[in-house]
Amino acid sequence: MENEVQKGGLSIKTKLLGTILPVVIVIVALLTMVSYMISKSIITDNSEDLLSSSIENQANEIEAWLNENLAAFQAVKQNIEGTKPTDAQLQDILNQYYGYNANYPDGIYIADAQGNLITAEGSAKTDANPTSSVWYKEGLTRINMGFTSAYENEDGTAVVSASGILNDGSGKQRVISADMTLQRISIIVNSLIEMKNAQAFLVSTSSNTILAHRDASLISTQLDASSADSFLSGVAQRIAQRDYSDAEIDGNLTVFEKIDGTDWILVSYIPTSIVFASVNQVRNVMLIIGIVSVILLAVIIERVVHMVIKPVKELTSAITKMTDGDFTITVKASGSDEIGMMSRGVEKFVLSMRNMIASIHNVSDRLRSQADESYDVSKQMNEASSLQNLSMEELNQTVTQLSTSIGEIADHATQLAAVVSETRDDSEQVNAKMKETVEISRQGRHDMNQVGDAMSSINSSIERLKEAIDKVGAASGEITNITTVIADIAEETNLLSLNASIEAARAGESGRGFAVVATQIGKLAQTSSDSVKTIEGLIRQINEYVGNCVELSDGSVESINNSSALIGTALNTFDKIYDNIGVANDLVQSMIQKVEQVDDVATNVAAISQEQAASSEEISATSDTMVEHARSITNNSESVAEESRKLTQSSNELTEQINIFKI
Amino acid sequence: MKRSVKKIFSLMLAAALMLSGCGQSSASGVSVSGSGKKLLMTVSDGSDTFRATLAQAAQDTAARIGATLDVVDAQGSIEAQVQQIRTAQEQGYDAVLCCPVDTDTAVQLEESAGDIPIVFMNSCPDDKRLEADRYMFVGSDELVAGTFQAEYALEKLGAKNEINVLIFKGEKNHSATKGRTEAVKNTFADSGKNVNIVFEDYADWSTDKAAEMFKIFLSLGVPYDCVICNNDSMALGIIAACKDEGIDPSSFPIMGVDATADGCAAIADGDMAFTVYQSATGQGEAGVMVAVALAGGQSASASGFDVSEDGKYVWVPFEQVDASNVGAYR
Repeated sequence: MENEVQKGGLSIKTKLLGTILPVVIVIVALLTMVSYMISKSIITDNSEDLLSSSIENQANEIEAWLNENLAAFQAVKQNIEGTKPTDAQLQDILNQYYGYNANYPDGIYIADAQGNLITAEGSAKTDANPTSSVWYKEGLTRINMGFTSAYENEDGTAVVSASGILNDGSGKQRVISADMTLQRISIIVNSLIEMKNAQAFLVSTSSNTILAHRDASLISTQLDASSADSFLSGVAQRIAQRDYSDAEIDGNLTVFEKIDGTDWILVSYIPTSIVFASVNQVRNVMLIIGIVSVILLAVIIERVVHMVIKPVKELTSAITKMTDGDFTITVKASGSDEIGMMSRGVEKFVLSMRNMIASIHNVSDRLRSQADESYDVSKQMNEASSLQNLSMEELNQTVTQLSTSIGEIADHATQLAAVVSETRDDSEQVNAKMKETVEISRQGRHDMNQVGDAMSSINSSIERLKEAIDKVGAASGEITNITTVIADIAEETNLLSLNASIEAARAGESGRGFAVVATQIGKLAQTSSDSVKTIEGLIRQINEYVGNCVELSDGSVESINNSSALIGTALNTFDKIYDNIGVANDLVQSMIQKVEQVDDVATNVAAISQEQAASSEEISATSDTMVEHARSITNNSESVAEESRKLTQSSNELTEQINIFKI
Repeated sequence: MKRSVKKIFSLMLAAALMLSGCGQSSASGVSVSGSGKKLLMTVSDGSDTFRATLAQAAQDTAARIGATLDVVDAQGSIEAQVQQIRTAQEQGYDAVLCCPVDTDTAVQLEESAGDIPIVFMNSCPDDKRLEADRYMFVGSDELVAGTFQAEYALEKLGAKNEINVLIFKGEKNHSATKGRTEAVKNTFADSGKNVNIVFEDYADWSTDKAAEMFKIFLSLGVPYDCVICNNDSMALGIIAACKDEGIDPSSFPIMGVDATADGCAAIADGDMAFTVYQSATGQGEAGVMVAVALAGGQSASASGFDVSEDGKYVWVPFEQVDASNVGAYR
């Protein structure tokens, strides 16, 4: 636990420092870098500007120095030209200017086309062949004095001369000149350098000769692009290209400046390492300042954080103890800042917590005992209700069974009542039928009697019919005899007509009337024969019909006799049936009476048993509800018991928990 | 010579009139122009033919585009020139065109102008004193003039292995003197010819000085092939000296710069071989156009003239003049 507190305390600090420090470091680093970049750029620019202005000034000073000397020579020259002196006077003038200025130690001298050299007295200037010397030849190219290119004089000294034509009106070709040693010019050039660590040298562009250099061995030497010295060769290339812009050559920041009035170029340079030395110095200083500031800031921030966090730490340990349930702690509240306020708050909190925990203690104790009690009670209740439940279920079962039985009885009774009712209906129908049957049989017997009577009359009629028919038979026999006689007469007539006709024919004409009568009598005999034949047919048919009638009437008489016998038998049978039916009817009447009695009883039984069934169903339903209630009471009592058991548990836990707090 | 003197006089008169009539003209609305710009031109010394032409060309251009241009003459006085520019600044001119008396006074001239831009002409101040679209130089590149001269000499004397050259220079610290002379020497050096400079001296643009110096040179008896002068006036001095000494000036090339009326006449006469026409008209026009552009807060390139890469110079091209085309320049 202590470790955790320690960790937590460290964590806040680490977080704060972990946030602030990188930001501070980055900001300081950025500031340092930006400052360095700006400084570097400023220093570099400044160095270039300084070198530029230095060389400009240097060039101006060299120019001024040269012009000053040139002006002095020019003054002497003009003096000579103005006075037009004799040779002796000329000697005097030269003597006067000798030693006047250390820049031209040999003084001013004059030579003419004949090789005569006039120097000041005491001058060391000698020249065996003046007219072929550089100063003489170059002097001849101008009237105003100007500088010659560099050359070595008789003494082997590297010099430049200021020379020009002496236009004294003497008509002689004369050149006036004065020598300045390159050594001296070098000294002057190098003395005029303004920028520290910068160097300069002077180059003649017409001859590519180094006129002045700090390194004396280089003076009067050729500036060659193929020089071993890569800086000098670089400069030579630049000069050859007439590119006089600022440049970095072989690690040197180099600037060029023309010297007005001459073809000389002043080259000034400074090693970039020197320029950057100050930049590096700035960088180092910046770095040190940066590191120191970071360290200083880190320490200060760490301390401040520590100071700020200290009361928080104390509070944290107090709160941690509280978390473990220890409220015996005291909190020191000091200061009026947020942390002070927080401490006071915690202090108040501890006090109120102590009171609260004490009261919770009491409450939990009481609660526990109460819970125990309620558990016991609920347990008992549960048992009781379980028992009740069981009983109720049994009761329910019994009631259900009872109800079922009663229901069955009621059903049976109802069925019975229905059957009885049907039976009564049937018996009534039977009764009605019976009555009809009686009536019908009575009618039947009556009709039978009538039939018998009718039979008797029919029988007598048939007898009379038989007699009539027999008479018809006898009559027809007599007719047949008559017709036979007629037929014999007709045949004899026919034969007579035929004989008559033959006789008539013999008689000739007289007989013709007779022949016609004989023919007509022949035809009449033929027609009479035919009619007799037809009557014979008819009589024969009538005889047949009469025979049939006799047969039929004989049959009918037989049949009617038979029928009469049968009808008599039927009548007897009818009578017996009638009697039997009457007995049956009586039986049916009594049976119906009995059935009606049964029906009344069965109907009553059914109604009563139905009422019973309904009541028993109500009872069953009620007992179901009671069982349900009993069951839920049991369940409830169980959950009450469960709850009270849990309550007991909870109150136990509560008591345990509360016991953790120390007050 | 007489004609040029007359010209100068008329120019000065015109300048005086313009200065005195400035208020009037603007009151009457005559000088109210499309661009409405008010310019001052200060000339180092109006007696010089070239500068007089330059001023006239500037005035013509200003009149054409509707700007007001007042010309004043500093008469060789740096004090007067500084005062003129200061007055221009106080009187609310929009830009100054300046032929400086002394290019070394550029810093003071710029200081006096305050906020208004200066277009330097005729003589070029040090490169460091110029600033793009603020302190500019409008003129012709002197190096080109010198190169033209040397090239002409090499063309005429190309057959010779060894060329003896005389150089007559202008005033010692004049930018034209330095540029033209340097270009002549460089061109000779680059030609690979054996060129001897047998005489080189400052004749200060002067005809008489040049004549005197040439006579002295002649007295030395040194052979020579050609004479290169930084301007036409000195070339005319050489011709005069030749005539005095009975030498035919057309027997060797005499070269000048500027194509002045007299110079062109000498070429037409056959005395002078070659000159370089520095277009005073072109420079005057370019100067005014650039000044108007700068006065309007625009870049110099808005003038329609080509501006050098660093934005400090507007170069008006030189033109070569010899006998073949001299008629066009008279």
